Amino acid sequence: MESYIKLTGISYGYPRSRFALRDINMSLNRGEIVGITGENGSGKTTLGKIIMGILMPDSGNIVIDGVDGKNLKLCERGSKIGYAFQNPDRQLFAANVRDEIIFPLEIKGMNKTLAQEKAAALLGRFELSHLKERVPMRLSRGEKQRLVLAATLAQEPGFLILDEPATGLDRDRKKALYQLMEELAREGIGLAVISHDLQFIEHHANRIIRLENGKVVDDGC
Amino acid sequence: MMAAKIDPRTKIVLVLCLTSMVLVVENLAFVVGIGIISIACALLMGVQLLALIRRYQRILILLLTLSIVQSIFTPGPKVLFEVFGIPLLTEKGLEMGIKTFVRMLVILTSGVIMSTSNYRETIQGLIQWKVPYKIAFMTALSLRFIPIFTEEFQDSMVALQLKGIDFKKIPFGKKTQIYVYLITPIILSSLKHAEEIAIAMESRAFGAYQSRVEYLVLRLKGYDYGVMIAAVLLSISYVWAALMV
Ligand SMILES: Nc1ncnc2c1ncn2[C@@H]1O[C@H](COP(=O)(O)OP(=O)(O)O)[C@@H](O)[C@H]1O
Ligand SMILES: [Mg+2]
Repeated sequence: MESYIKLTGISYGYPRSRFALRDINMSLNRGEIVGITGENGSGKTTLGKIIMGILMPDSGNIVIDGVDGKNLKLCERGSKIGYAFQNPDRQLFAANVRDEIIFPLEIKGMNKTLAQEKAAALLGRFELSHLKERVPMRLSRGEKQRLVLAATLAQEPGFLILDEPATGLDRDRKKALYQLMEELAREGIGLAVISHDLQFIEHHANRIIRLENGKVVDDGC
Repeated sequence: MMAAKIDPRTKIVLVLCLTSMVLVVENLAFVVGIGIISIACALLMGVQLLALIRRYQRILILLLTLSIVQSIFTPGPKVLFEVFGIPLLTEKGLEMGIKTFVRMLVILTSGVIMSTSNYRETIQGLIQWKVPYKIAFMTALSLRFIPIFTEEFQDSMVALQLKGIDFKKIPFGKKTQIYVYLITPIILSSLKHAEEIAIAMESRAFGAYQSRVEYLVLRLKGYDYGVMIAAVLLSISYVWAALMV
């Protein structure tokens, strides 16, 4: 299978820090759920940001959907890969839940009715329809998480990177989230899920990548 | 100077304009421009420049050092200065260093502008804007922590771009809208933060009495409205101009 995201020889060091990602090689595919795990500070978030293009690698290459990452601007990557920040508050902007999904579509020139239809469908799917007039910032953690996912999917990315999406959710909410992920994977979307949760890693991931001190120490099934 | 009598609320609006401008704008010349504007504002507010430099000497030196450290060793295509073939200063590094310095300077100046009103007045100003006392208290506190917003702001910029929004290609009529979307999370998160601290304070019986007697009553004057409206309009056009370049 042609891989959707391919990293070769990626290294990255923060300006004034001893930590560094070293020689990361991996292929990520659509339709697959990859669990990225490792201790705190092992570089999981950094790796996610490198793949997203939020951080630029010092060396190495990233190819996304057949395009060299260097030629993809941040605003173009969003339609290839969706990204959920570790803290959902960082990506909620609008005054109400519905607008959170609609406004980027409208700014990009989508027809108003079409954008509204799309939002309605996504809100329904993520069980947010009853909250559509609420202020996103005031939702519960789980609701915010779902809204971020819905808003990300509005751009129809082929892949999702979720940074610790289950943090702060209770067991049932986690389970619902994991089921949703499996559903997305069945539809052919790839997911890289940064997680500590053993339940997730053992039962829901097709593949586990373990990081230790900035290096991949394990990449298998 | 009459500036001493400017309402603290006017200063809050001014400071919010200055800091958000300096964080949104990326263009070097415009960033430096905001630096100059904010120092001019501080002077107009009656801040004594020489006394100020003396008072903040240490911090200024620290800021300068940080900026220099940031500018050297930043890789970039155009090398300005090298030692034994090792590039030490690049054009990109120099630009980043200057921007960092000016940004921190503007934030520092904002703090100085706020400190020309006393603390009590700032809180009173907010209360008269119907902000609940505890929140006003916390907001006044958090105005002194504006730097923390920098990081949140940068994340917001990234997140907006990941939504597929290209800052260089926003239709003209939508630029202000984007600006609102950018500052909303910051305002909300600071309010939320304030609210949380307020709960913590309440559990320590802060504000045990429902109503408070105010000795101090502030009144917004004509020039307050003038300065506020001018500050907001000018900032929006400034950011507009900077994004258009
Ligand atoms: N902006 C930054 N500047 C410098 N060092 C950082 C920065 N962000 C993270 N780090 C460091 O990089 C290391 C890896 O961080 P991170 O990727 O967030 O780990 P994880 O997500 O696995 O907990 C940590 O040691 C952290 O202190
Ligand atoms: Mg992390």
